[in-house]
Amino acid sequence: MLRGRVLLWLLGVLAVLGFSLGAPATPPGQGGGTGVEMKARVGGQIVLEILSGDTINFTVDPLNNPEATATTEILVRTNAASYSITASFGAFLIGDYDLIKNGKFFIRSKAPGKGKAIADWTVPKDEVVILKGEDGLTSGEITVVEYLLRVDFTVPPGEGKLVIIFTAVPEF
Amino acid sequence: MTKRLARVALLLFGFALVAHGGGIAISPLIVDITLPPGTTYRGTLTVTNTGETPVTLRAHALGFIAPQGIPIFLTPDLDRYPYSGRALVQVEPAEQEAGPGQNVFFTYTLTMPEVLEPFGGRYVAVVVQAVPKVVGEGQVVVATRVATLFLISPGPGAAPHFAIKNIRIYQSENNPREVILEADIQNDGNLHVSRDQIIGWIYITDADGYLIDVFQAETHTMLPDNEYLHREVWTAPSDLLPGTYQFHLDLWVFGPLGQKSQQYFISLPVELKF
Repeated sequence: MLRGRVLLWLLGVLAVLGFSLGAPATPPGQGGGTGVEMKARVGGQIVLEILSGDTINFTVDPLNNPEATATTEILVRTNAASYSITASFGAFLIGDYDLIKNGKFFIRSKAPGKGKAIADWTVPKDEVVILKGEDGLTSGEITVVEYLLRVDFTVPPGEGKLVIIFTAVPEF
Repeated sequence: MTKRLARVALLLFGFALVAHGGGIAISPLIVDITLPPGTTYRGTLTVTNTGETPVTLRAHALGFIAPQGIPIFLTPDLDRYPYSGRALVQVEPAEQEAGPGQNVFFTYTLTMPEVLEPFGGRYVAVVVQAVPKVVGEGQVVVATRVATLFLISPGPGAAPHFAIKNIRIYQSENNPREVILEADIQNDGNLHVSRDQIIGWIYITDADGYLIDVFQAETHTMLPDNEYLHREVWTAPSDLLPGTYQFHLDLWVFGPLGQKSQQYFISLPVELKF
């Protein structure tokens, strides 16, 4: 009985081994033509996380509270030698009034290390590099992005809407 | 007075800035590939939801330029870059869900057309954006995205070439010992040069040709038809006497086996006053 079980177990092991050895290794990519030469720098990875700044409310009025600030903390982990973070800004509209185009919304950033950030309040336009040339090979470091909303009586009342997309990219 | 108060109340603004607190990762970061005209290549991108809430991952292709070695993505309406490869890549699926800590895979297919106009490299990014499952009304959304950059060479016939123009060497107004070296650098070839294929040195010699100092210039990947203002700052030794000095830029661009390396050597005499 015991010998029968061992035999079955051995047959099972042999079957699994035979399948594993017979199966072709999966290539990382597949060329569809002749003369295709692949030189992929694989293994590089960037992790981008929003640590804080999940929910920020600006409550401003032109008379008593014309300015408000807020921050977002961005965590990057990467094995790239150096990296940068870009931010893409859409329109910040109250009706047809764009707070960015009219110079009411500003950003600045603080680098975690040697990278170049945006030191002074700057009106963001389309795609902005908020961190440039930061040393990589890090298991986690934080870039802080600050926002400033400044309104006056030329700004119509209402609720603004804005989409900011942060992208971490390797410097290459 | 009542009217005035009412007006002020109307001018109150409510702004909400909401981000999903999750994270996203992608691998590989860069794919550098030689793909002759008329060939196709398929591969896989791994995207990880590193956050604690489920997200929708949306993938799409964007052209990009990188004058300073940092990719600048081109939205389709602004993408007039002649070497953009946006039309060359297909990503599937375009969208999928990822639970906390989950890896998902996107398959890409690169197809190099038989005829390339203009002939040369093609540059495209597959951008994956994490979209939170719940986006409230009236909110401003902070989203995260990551990208894999594709540098595609068509093979023989394509090569980088550099044009170095408007070289300016001058002393800083605040600190005359700081010497600023600037030049407009353009890749006017039809292929990128990778940061590992290029190296530059700056030598400073005195009027008799004796070496005073040497330092390495910062270089980065340059795509074709990209141009940027290169800037270096050299601090002259405190005991360096006023006089005319020679600044030499020595730039090397290395190519594949059988292709001659390119060297750019420029010398300029500059009078320094301290």
